Amino acid sequence: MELTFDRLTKQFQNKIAVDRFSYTMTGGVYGLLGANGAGKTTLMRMLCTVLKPTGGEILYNGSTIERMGVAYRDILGYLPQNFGYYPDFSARDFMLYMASLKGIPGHAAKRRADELLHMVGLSDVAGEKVGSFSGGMKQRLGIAQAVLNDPKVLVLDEPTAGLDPKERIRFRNLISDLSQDKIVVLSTHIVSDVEYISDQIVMMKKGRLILSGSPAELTENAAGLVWTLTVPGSQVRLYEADFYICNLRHMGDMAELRIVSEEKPAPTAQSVPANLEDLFLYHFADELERSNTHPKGGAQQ
Amino acid sequence: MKQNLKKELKQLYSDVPPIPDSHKIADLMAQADSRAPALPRESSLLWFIRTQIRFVNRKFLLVQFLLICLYGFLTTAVLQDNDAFLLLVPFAPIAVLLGTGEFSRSFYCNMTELEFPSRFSLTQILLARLLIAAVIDMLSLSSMLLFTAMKTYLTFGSLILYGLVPSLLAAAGALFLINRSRDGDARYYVSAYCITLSAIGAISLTAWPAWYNGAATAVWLLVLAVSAMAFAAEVYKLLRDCSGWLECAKLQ
Amino acid sequence: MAYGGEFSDHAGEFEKIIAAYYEDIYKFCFRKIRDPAEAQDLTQDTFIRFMDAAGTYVDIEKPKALLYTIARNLCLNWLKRARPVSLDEPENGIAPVTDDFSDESIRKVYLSIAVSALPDDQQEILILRYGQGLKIGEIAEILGLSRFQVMYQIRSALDRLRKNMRKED
Repeated sequence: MELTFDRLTKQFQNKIAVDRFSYTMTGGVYGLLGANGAGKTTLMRMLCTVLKPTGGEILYNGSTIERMGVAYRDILGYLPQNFGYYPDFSARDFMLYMASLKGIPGHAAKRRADELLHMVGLSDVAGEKVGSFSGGMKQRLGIAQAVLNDPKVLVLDEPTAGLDPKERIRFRNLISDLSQDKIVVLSTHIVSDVEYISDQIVMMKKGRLILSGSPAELTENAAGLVWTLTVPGSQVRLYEADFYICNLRHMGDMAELRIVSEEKPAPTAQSVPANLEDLFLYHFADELERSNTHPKGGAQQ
Repeated sequence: MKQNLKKELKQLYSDVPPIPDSHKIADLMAQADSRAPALPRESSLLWFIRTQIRFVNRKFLLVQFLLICLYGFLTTAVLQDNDAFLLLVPFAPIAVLLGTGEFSRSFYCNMTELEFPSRFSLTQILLARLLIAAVIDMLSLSSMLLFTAMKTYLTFGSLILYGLVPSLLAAAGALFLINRSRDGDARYYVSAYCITLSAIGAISLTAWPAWYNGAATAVWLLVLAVSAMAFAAEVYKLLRDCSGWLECAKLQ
Repeated sequence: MAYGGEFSDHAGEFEKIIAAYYEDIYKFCFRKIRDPAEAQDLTQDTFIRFMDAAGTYVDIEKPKALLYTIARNLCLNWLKRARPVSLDEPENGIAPVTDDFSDESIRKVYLSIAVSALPDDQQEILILRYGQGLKIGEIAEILGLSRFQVMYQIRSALDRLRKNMRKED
């Protein structure tokens, strides 16, 4: 089971969304990490044959997915970022409808639908209209339909966006359970969602692959990049100007800064082991600054 | 005697030595643990179309039914005999409007992205829906025709003409609009178009009665031919655009 | 809890089937080929092929037909490769090894001789019917015959047996 991206490119009118992306996936969970607009969704849409690439190709076990056609879609499961629903459908109707699209006949479809609804914890609301579901419930329904056909390639686009922390953990565990014998591609801009369940992290920026490796590898390579420094509260502004501060904690008059920097920021700074969050902030600092959103654990003023 | 023999046979066969190696069973169980039976799959378009019938919106069917009832009521109870056909022209586009609404659900309910990567392509999904919507609309239209035929002296042929032309005009126009804006807004354009068509039809009955003379039949036939071709062209465009994996729907 | 454990209980289905039918299939194979160790090997093989071949939920819900069909074919192939020389001799195992010369055991010996004198396909049907306890419909499905044909064969086999037994008496 091998999925290969070969110089995959997607260009819209005046923008290159995915730029010569090349990578190979074998089984396991792949966390696709990047800021909004990094090209993650476009990449996934190409992976799911929703969009056609303008350059390069995707190969599954050596054959292009374009040539494989139905055979590829048969082993594919997709949860898009925003998906709608037919208002008159109940959860079970929705599952049966998606099952019919995947060619699963009646009797097997019913069994499979009930089984999956049970697995994601929606059995008691199976007869309720999808319109009445909370965001978390809808996402769970989404993942249930994505695995109806027992896919070999499971593509989840920002599956935890908008979920509260409890739902996010629930979802993470669900994905972990589902990841046997599959390639799971999971995109997010929330590091903690993928940190613990990914076998490999793939970082994307402006449509390009900038970094990849297992979480352990990546943090190892980042050794010597992260420092903690305790300074008087009044000096915080000085450091903010020169360095990227990925965490700031006020303790009375003093402030503890966590800084990502290639050189030691100050004589009293201490090197600490890096974590994935630090790495993410470091690479996406400019994009995050621009969009003026600090991710979880960001600076508190 | 017979029973005895059967019993004896059973006894004869019951002499079986025990299973020699029970470890092998455990091995087998371990193997079974890692396997799961494959899911059965259907691939015929006909099967698919049949399954889609179940998912037709109940409200859509209800409203169509009410429409027919209303039509029936008006033609049989309210209007004068010869005026019965008056309703056909305005009502037909409404029936088609409902049909296209049902048909284009994928777009305005934002389901295309989910539906696209399935065994049955979006083209096939739309084809199935189109077929079902068309059949339901045809049934509607036929019911209306029957009601009208009961009450008027116009020939069945001209009735069919008066029913079919507004329907095809509505359908062709609706598809044209859907093809140009495959998202939630299409609904509004199509509704506006069909209601306008219906209104024109209603007005024409009193304002331009000349339209319904025998002499005008040729014009009606011409319009029929043109709208039929336009409809076919738009259907072809829709299905062709959604085949393969082109971005046929506006994705956010 | 709804999740956080076995994703699919399909795997459980196979285990249930093995637990339910292993012994039956083993007995069937033994009755066909008369060697316990080989019979078990064929049984193992049968289930492995079953798991490969089970494509639909029908196979899972009513596995008998597929199981017996596979087992039957495996036994036939095995027999082709290692068939005992004589068709008339009672094969080891049918004839109970005993010094007991009571009427019952003598009858048993005669019966086993009479059975082995029957044509192969009738012997098979008798095994399926009185050894495995299958219904007429099930036997018909496995052998690809009509119910009528199956009943006819059973009747004809029983008649022949009765005639032969009467001769021995």
